[in-house]
Amino acid sequence: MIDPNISKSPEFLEERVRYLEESNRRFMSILEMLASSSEFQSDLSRARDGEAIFKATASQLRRIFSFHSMGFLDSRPDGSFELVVTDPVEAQDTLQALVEARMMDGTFAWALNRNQAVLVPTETGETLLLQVVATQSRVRGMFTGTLPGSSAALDAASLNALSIVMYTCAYALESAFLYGMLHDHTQHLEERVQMRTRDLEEARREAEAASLAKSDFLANMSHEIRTPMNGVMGMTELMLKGGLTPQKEKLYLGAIKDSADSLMMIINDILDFSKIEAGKFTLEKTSFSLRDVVERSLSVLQMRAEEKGLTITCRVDSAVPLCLVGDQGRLRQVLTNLVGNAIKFCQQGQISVEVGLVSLERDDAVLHIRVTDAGIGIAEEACQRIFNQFEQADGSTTRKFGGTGLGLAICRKLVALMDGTIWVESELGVGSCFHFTAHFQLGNGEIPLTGKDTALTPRQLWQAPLTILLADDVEINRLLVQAILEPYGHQIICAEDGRKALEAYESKSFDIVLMDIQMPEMDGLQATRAIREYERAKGRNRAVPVVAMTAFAGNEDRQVCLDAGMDDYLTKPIKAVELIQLLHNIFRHQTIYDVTPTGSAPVALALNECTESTAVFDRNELLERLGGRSEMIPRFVNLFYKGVLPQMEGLGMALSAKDVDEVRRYAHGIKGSAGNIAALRMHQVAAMMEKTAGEGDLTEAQQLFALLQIECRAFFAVVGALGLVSDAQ
Amino acid sequence: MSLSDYPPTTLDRLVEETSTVYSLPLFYERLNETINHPRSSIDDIAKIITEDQGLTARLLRLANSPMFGCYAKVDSITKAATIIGTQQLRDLALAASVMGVFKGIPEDLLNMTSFWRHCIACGIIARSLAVYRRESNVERLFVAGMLHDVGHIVLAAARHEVSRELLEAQRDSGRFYLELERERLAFDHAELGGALLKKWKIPVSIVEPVAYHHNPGSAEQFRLEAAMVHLADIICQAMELGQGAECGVPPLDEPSWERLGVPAHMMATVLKQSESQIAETFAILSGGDDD
Repeated sequence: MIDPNISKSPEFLEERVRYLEESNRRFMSILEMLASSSEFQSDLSRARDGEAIFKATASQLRRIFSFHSMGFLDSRPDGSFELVVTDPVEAQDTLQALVEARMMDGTFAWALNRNQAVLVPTETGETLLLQVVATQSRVRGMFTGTLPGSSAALDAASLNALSIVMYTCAYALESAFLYGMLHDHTQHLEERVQMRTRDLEEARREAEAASLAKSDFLANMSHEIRTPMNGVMGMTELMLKGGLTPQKEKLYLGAIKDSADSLMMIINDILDFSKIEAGKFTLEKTSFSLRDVVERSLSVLQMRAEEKGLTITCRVDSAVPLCLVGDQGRLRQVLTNLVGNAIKFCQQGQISVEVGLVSLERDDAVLHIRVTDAGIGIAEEACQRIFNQFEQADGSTTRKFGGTGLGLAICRKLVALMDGTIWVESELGVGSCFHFTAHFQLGNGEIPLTGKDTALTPRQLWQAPLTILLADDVEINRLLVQAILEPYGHQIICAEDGRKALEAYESKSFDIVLMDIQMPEMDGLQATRAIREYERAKGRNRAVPVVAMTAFAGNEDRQVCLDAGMDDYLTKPIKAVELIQLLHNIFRHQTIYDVTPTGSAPVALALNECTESTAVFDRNELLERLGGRSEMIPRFVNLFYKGVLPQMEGLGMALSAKDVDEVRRYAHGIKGSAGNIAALRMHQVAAMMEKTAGEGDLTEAQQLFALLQIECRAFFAVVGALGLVSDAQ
Repeated sequence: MSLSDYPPTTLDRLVEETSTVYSLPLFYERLNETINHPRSSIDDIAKIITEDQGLTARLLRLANSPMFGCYAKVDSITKAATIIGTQQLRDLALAASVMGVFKGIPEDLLNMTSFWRHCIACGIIARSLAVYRRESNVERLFVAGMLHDVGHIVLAAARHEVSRELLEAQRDSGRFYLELERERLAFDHAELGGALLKKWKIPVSIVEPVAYHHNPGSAEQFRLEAAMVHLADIICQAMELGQGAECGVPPLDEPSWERLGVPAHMMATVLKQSESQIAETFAILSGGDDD
């Protein structure tokens, strides 16, 4: 509508036409720009990041606006804006400065809240345009541009077109962002699925391997059990047929024994293993000498090694404490297993056992034990696996070398019980080195002279004949015990059950009772309780030692036996060595005890001092005397051995001749030698003899001599156990 | 003069009569043309507005009012044009001058204060809804809201008796004014207002929301804007912000509510923001311009 007051002059009309034409052109170009938005859209849909989207938007805007420069500010999660793209690139700093100024004066914040362009003049005579890039849900950024002219009031249509383009741009940015998020998420999901699949696959593989190993184990086991069983049955059958020469019989019997031994070993392995698996396994806590344990473990294996032409060397670091507290039996088991394996897989050369001290803090000693061989070695991949149950380095090992595949698994579990770890270093064809560590408590320094496992061999044992009551319902067991003990001159009375044993005990006096646990009529526990009851009723001041013989092999079972009043405990099958040693252990004290009733004050005093405080051998005192040179100990022990035996002999003869002076002289000599070598108890007893003989009194001399002999044996047992006896001996 | 003596009350006739009696200030058309001219500058626009000193003052006060919440003091029309935008300034200029157009309407027919309070509140709430939805050119919503009941004035100004008759009928029956209008006239105040604005060459984006503020679904191009004014009107009636054409709360058009997609819990925020702006905006637009 035209104001009627304005004259319609030709100039005015000309201007009108120009205005309309110009507007028309303007609208057309805007419409064209918007109409060509399909190209813009496809650019946007190809764009995967903000920069590409900004570039596509900028080229679209250039169709209708004559921007000197353009820029996009990206909205950051922290609320800040960053100028990420400028066109041309050189405009970066200028635009940055312009926008920052607008941020300072609040125009920028104002523009953020306006969904249309905000135009502000710049100091250089241009116009700065700010247009928010936002979807309905959130601000994505800010578009900025500089336009020529100080009063560049853009026409409404252009600004609307700008709004449309920026709106499209904002949605493209949001899509890209969401797409990116979705992509990340999908990617992440895929990774997780893959990871999970891998885990499951691994678990499945492990389960299958375990199941396979178990089947293999069962197959091996039945093979392992059947092989010695065949031996036993075949040989027995042959022998039952009769008509064999004594040599043949001996040969067959030897074969049966071998088979039975290996069968026992397998069964022990399985039992141990299942006990550990069931968590029913507890460690004993007794004090022991580590050197002794190592020595004895090796001595058992020595023969097997020698048969294969192997040598076993052993070195215990001098820092390792003399006396430790722990389960020596289990330590031996691990050591025996490792050295046994070394012997098994080694064809030549040397097996070395080294014991070192890792740490010693307060009461806790950590040992590191190494068993090195020059055997076939273990493939690297198998080094972990061999400690798993039912696994050997590979299936063929079993066929070649035998074994249950449980040994190392048991070792690992035993070592774990001892708070240690076990591992192996190995190279195929070169050899292996098995390591394990174990924690022990520190002992009180007193080296136990006796114990179930003293290193004495039956030959060395001196034992007065005993009257033994043996209660067992199985005839073969009775025969076995009789066969073991009768050669030593012991008298054995048998009883078939607990009741008969009790009757026998009531009718006759016995030195010791060997009691089976499971028997008809009255079992071993009941019988023992009855015996103890009987003793109390009769007012016997000294209880007879009762030793259980049982196939149950756990510490709990042992406790049940002790609670019933038993003194000790033997595991079936009964081994000759163990039985003899047991008797020795019990009657070593007993022998001394037997001396006392007739003894007068000095002897009682001597015994008292001996048993209570004095050590059989004081290594530290000897070391002090030798200036700390421990390597000299064996030589000195050897010298003492050579010197003291003739003196003991002489003393015995002097006693027989009742020659007081000679007795005093020999006793004096022995006292001196014993003192030098730190055989403290020998020293004490010899000093006592010297003193009484010096007073012309030989009444106690015979008993003191017996005591001296015992102490002498004890001394050599101890130094032997400590490995202090030189080879020359 | 009896009712039948009046010229027939048709929509076209009323629009024709009114547009000659009440016309928009001259500046509006010049402003519109200048704004759309590619060669014009902000200075050109500012020059047109500043010719009317009363308008200039009202616009500046408006630009500095809480409705804008502008960061800096807007002390010139040039600055208002740069900051608010030229189109928006034009829309505000329309809002700031329209109140002075209608005069001489009997106080018993229409309480102008209460009426314009309702209109301004409706405009502000409609604008707030648009701001919440991040619409561009939110000022047109303010103008549309402000003018949504303009048809009511037109009828009251041109047909005192018809208007009075309808008001009494409403009081007696308690029915919706809208229905009574339609029965009596075959058109309603929304249609009438829309027709007048169209005659005044106001942009369609403002005309349609006014014409369809009772039935937004019928709008051809600006259904969303119509829906915003529709909702704003209902809110104003419910909150008793001023007094529009209707007495009760008009029924809500469900599809419009759905289309807006404004969560119900957001309404409290929108209302709270709007309430503080209503009184001040009313004071700015109604005062200081009596000539």
